[in-house]
Amino acid sequence: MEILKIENVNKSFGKVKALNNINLTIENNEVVSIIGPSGSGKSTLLRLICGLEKVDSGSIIINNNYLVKDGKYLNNSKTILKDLGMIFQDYSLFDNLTVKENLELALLYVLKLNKQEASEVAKEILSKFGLLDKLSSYPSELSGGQKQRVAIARSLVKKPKILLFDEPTSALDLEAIANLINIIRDLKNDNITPIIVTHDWEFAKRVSTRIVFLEKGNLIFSTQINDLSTIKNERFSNFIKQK
Amino acid sequence: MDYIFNVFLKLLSGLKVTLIIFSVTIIFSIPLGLLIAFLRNLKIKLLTKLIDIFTWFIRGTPLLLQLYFMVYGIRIIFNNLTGVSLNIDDLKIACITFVINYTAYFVEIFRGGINSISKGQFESAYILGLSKYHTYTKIILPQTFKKTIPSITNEAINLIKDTSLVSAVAIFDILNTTKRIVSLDFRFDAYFLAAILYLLLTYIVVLIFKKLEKKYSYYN
Repeated sequence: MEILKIENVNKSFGKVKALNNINLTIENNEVVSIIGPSGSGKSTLLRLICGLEKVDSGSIIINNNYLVKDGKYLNNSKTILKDLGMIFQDYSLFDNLTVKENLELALLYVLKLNKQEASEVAKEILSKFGLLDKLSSYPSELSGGQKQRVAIARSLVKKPKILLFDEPTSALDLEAIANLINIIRDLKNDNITPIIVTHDWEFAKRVSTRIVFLEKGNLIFSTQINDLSTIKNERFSNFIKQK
Repeated sequence: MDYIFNVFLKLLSGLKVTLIIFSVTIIFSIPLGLLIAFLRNLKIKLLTKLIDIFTWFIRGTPLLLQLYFMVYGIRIIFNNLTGVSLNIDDLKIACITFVINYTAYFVEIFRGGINSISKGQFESAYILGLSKYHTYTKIILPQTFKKTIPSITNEAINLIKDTSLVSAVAIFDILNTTKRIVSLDFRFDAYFLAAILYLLLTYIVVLIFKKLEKKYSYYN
């Protein structure tokens, strides 16, 4: 089943063309890594998918709902956001709230659970991530890996269909990266499709079922990881050599 | 010593007036400043323009001029327009003037505070599906308040001293009461007592805001 479809998407910042006629379809339960050198447009693409940036033209369809159709945004961000979660590079946890409160916020004010229900759900999700002893900690008291797990747990309260990761390994040590790989693989059990933007080729190779390569705003290829050996592309070869 | 004690007792009535102006201004102008800073950040063009004109006008003209206009000018305008005299006492009008003036300053302080909150806080709230109201009341404004406590403390200290401007519109605060005592008794002791009262007020305000800062230091 198609979970995300991007059709003829263009995006410029002033005179700089960030994305050039992007077409991409992602199926349910794939683990997709969007890779490419700095300035290739991969983060822009991620921000377009979740509506943090607006396309100049083209369409984006998420779980069969149009976010944008032929450049026109439909007023359905609530429906779209329900299916999306995003893990920011700096995690963007709410600094003034405890770990548990970070999770409860969406449960209370988006899903409209009562306080007791919200507390129970938050604890249940945090226990899955081994964070029960951090319920009352503030983000500033956590390590990078713990912050990321809280960010993932916070995204999961909405039961999204797609979870977007922006450079998830940039601030992690090897142990935390191994942990993250397990978490991402487990998302399949909850019927969640991870889409990862990364310049970390080793990580992308280990975690993904599909690789999408972008360069200078162009989608060079999108292929199953098993078919990667058939790809003969000099720019891609140069990219992975540098890593 | 008896004289000093008597002067002190007389100054207490002035202290009460100063405290009324100070408290009313703080109680109303901080929440109003937060609210208007929030409205300005909604980026509704006309509203933003109106708020900018308000802060420009109020911060660009002297508080004393605003006091003269509000206490004397408004009465004349009201009388000319309606033929009836405006029946509000000067202290209330002075309080309203201070609230308006300090609101403009607090709007700017909180606007700067909101702008200093990282974009990621807004963006992650958006993706979680939180409304603007909850984004601001649960995340942005508490963080803004913490960041702006030092600036709010400065404004509160300024306010203590600014309250003395009401002596120019014949309201008997600490300063005006002092002036009256000095002119009647031909002794300067009252000036020293007044200075001690102002210093004491400043000290208490700094102490309260330090406590507040400590209360908000539960996270970094």
